[in-house]
Amino acid sequence: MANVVIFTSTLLLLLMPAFFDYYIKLLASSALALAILTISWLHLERDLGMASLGHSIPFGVSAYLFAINPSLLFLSPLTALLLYSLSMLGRTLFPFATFFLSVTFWYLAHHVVLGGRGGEEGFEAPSLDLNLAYTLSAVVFLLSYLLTWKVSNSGLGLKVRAVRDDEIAAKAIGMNPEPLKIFTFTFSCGLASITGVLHATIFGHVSPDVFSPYFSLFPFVAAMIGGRRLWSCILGSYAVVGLSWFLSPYVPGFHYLIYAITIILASRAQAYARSNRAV
Amino acid sequence: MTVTIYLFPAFIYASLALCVLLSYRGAKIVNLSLGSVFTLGGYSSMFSPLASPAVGALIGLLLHVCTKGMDTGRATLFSLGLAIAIEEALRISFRVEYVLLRSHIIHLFESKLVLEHFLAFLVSATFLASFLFFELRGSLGKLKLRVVEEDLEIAEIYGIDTERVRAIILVVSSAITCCLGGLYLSGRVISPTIGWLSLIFSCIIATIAHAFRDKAYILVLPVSLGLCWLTW
Repeated sequence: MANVVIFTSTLLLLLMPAFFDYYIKLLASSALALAILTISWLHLERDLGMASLGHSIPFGVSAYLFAINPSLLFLSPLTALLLYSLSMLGRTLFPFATFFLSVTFWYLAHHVVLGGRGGEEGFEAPSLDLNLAYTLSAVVFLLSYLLTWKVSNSGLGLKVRAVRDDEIAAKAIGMNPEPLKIFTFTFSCGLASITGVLHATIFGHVSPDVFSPYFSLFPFVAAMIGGRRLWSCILGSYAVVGLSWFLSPYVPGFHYLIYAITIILASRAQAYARSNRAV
Repeated sequence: MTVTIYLFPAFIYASLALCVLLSYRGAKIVNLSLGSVFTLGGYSSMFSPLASPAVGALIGLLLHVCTKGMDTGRATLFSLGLAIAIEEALRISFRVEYVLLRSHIIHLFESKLVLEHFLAFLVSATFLASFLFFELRGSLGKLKLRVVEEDLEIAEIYGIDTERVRAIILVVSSAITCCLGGLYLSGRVISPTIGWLSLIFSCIIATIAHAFRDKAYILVLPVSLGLCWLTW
């Protein structure tokens, strides 16, 4: 019964915006793209126990590469290696190291100027018709949800979780944790990179703000609001995007208020850093 | 000119790095609110130059009370939430993204200086010198700090009030950071997010110094001087 309700509400959330005006459709497209980012983040956090606060790096780098020259997108997997190398700092310091790195990228992106374009204003990106962009976002969301679910519940996912729970025990039964970690980072960052391209296509523009704390903390906040389950990413994402866009005229940068409250509550909640819930 | 764009920032970043290092080693928290506290100092200096240390001390006390008993991960996460809350409070209170802070120009040794920057340099030099004195003197306080850094449980067995040590570290580091922000941001156009860059630069200095273990506190200034010289 619960599954039917979940499926119906997700389907409704996916279908409803198609019947609304341009503004709502744009919001929904953005929320869907960010829901995919949240799924990619949640996969890394739940399966490997690494809560990245710098998922805006693969997201932003691929958006930038797509805007500058789409043929450069082959470079975006390097961001997975970057985040993987930070994972060697350990689970406690990893979130904050990735956050620092994303803020550094944010500042550096202001200085990316190519052929008189870029800087604070950013780059123009190839864009799609909004109806098409929305449909594409919905399809990519469903595909990433199914793929993540499949990977998490496969034998490979089980091995990754074994590494998360006890790396030494996993080694003792003959597993090599490093390839498993690299796979999980690549998978998660790959999804985040696709989201970056999607974001650039929806808005037709990429600015240094793609590295801002709004994007780097978004998956964490949306996952916490949604209850850290794959299917509820879309609810958390819609809640954050909707509230921040509608209330920003009254309270400037309203999303940061949501972020502050969620992060402060998360630090006190038992759910934080406990990565053993079922999908 | 060289003094203002190279030496002054080196001392100020060294002080901020010392605050980051103290918070991490003594209070077991990567204090991410320090960047926002630095910015808050700038905003509060608009009302009174003396307000910033008091405001900083209050934020430090709040952080201590709210993160009591938390592990490093949770306490750091809380400090991130606090940092964003401070930023948002500034955005809501001032309703504008950018604010220009006033400053005063003085002439010293045939060169023009911003008075507030000179004062920030003096405050940070005093802070660094007093901490260096504390480090080199080999007092009981230093010994207590070392034991707290090594192991909290052992420190408590030895009868050290670890909560008190933690509170002092968080209050002093926040007060100093806020005071430096109030002085060093004078004459600049500031926004609520301006403190992040200073925090990141200080964290880089602190990380390099931390690699030298026991000599970390002493080497904060040379590392800062080196990095400022490299980036200048």
